[in-house]
Amino acid sequence: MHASLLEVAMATQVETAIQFNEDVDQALKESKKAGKPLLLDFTAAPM
Amino acid sequence: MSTFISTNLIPVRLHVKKHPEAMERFGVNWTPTVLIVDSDGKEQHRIEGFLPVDDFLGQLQLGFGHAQLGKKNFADAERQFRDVVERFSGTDAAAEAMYWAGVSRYKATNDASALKATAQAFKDRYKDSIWAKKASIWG
Repeated sequence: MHASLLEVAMATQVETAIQFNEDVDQALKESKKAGKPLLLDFTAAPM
Repeated sequence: MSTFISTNLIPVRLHVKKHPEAMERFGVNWTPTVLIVDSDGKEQHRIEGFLPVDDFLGQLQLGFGHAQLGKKNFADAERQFRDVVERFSGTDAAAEAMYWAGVSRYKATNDASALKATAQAFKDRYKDSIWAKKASIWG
């Protein structure tokens, strides 16, 4: 069970507000455009 | 938390079974693992294993501070680190953030007194932390 990000999100009832990408390279391109770093959340929890 | 992530980060979720190549690419051997990575794919911060909410949030902002430091945005980095010290003062992230806040100030100003002040600050707070030991050479 992925406990950190997922559980924190659930605990704060904001899970649905976070739009997760699943493509690292696409996210890296977006990162360059937006000037924001990536948050990579590696999980074994059901998605 | 969602506001912090949406405002400051590009969030990517990778399941171990669906994206084993990403695990290999970033040297991830266990979950949960959260990485803060710059736009060149360079890792700036790693959070491995479960953490209680405040500890996790502190680590997340600490990682964002490291990303700013990596971009040489020293003033922004220091602001993030000092915010971690104040908002998450009871977590392990705080001592590390205090150390890196001093480093950020030094890099921004090239004034070694920033390091000395950090070493002094560790005599009052987090004096038993490994970060206090690391800063002790400055003071």
